[in-house]
Amino acid sequence: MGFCVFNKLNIINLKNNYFKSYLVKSKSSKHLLNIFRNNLNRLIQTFAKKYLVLVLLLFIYVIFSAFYLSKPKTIILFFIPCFGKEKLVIDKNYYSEIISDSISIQSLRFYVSGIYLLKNGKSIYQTKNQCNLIDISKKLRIEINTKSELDFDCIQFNIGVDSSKQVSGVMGGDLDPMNGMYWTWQSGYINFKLEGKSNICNTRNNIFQFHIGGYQSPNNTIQKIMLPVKNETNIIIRFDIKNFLSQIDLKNVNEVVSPSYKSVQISKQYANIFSIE
Amino acid sequence: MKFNIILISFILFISAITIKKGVQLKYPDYFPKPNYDLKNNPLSNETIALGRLLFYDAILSKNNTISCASCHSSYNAFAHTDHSLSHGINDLIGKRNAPGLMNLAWHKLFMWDGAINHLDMQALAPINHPKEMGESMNNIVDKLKKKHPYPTLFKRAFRDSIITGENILKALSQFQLCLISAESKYDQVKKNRKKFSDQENRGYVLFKTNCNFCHTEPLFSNYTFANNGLAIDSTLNDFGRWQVTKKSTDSLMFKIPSLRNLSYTYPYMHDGRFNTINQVINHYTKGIKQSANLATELKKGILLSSNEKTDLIAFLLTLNDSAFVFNLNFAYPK
Repeated sequence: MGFCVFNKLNIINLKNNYFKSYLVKSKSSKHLLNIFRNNLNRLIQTFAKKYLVLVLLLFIYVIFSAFYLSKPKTIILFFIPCFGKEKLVIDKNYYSEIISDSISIQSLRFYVSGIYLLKNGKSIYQTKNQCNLIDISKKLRIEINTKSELDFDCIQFNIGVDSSKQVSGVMGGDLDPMNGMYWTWQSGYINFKLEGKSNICNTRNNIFQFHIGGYQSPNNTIQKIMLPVKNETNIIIRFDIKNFLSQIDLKNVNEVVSPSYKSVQISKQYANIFSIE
Repeated sequence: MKFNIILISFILFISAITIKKGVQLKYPDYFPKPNYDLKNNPLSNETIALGRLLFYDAILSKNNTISCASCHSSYNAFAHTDHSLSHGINDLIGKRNAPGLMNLAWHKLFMWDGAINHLDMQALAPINHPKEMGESMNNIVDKLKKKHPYPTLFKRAFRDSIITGENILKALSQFQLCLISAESKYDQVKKNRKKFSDQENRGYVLFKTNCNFCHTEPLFSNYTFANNGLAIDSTLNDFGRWQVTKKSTDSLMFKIPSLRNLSYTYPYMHDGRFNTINQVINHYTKGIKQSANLATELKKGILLSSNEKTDLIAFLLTLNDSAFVFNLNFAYPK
């Protein structure tokens, strides 16, 4: 107890000493600061008079570069689902001449990653680490923010999640497993998911299901797509599900839900349904 | 005065460093480098505590009856004792034995067949399996949003009260990463705190010549896959790794389990067919079924006299880590 009191007193003493020395110091430093301030003002005044034009030009340049030269530009990719010439709507019946029966689509989602803009075959812009989930009932557009105006004549992208993201643990946003695009019984993203109904399918409730994925050779289903485009801010990409289904023998192939040679084949079939409007 | 200031600034400096570094995995220096990359999921005490709560909460199952701990109980080194095959919701029986959970930061692939490529993604498998927890990540997110105190705990752990699948899985990973078993008698000997008995030493020599190739020290597994000569169980027709890769060379291959805590984790093998360590050793000495992809080390067969078997078991028992099994930090959160 006694020790504590002594200690406290000691600290107060020390504090007092410290403040005293601080006050002495601050007096002399205030004086110095004043001298410095006066001189600085004079210096700035003479400089401004001599180089007034130069200073003004510099000012204008800074403003211009901030607002115009490095103004980021946004390019928007619009994905338009189609059934032949019609726009594709969920749960609507469409007639297909090839199977001579009606078809309806219940869900359609796929990943778009690795977007490149090219000019004369050379890459001039690429998105870094961006992976977007396109969903017919939620999201059909991707925004690309470039640093400056770009001159391009071709767009390249992947349908699917690249293999580095397939093995690096859980991720959020469009890659969150709660989006229902991740296989739980065997690791890997579903790159392309199409579910629908047709009476030609001899399955429970006449459902057909394509859950296409697989990132390991020989069942790698990621597909690269290249499309020539005009140099415009809005790029409209149509994908025709009628075209996809016409390449498939739907009566016999209607349930592909795990990585296999079949899914690789189907991934190649949906890779050629994309076109620029 | 000066000394005080130096002392205080030194303490502040040290605490600043430790705060910046966050929580680290604690493991002995003779362990290899962990396989799990903590950069994508830096540990924090709040997240570990949240992961522990989720691990023990049956809310992760469809009818709120089964938690992770139902089949991975801390008192059994996080295995499912007494059940050859583990059971999930509505008493449905799966087709494999729930393995013990320990030293998961060093595993490369998960599940007996390696179907899962990352610890973060592992929990999705039992959560979604119709015979285990039968639940979807979406439903779990909805249920957790409505259950006190989860929103607060998520906010504390991830600085975001919006609950996502990503954060649930990250929290579960963090708790499971902490399940490090490194205090067995074997470890005490490694750390020069204890010594093996003569019998344990003889067993250690036998272990190194006969078992270490697959059950490699100090984790007691190399975490690869092997066919260890088990005859197929025709009621299950489980071909292991083949079911994932569809390669004939992977037929009947299963992940090599660690031998740590083996007294707590019976029954043994992927289908829990052996109840005792003796049965396991007898399988390796006289029960091996020859096949094309049988582990090369087992092709000649392992020969052990009955004395040698006793010595080997004496060594294997030094791998039991009661400090790990009864660690209150890993038990049901109160």
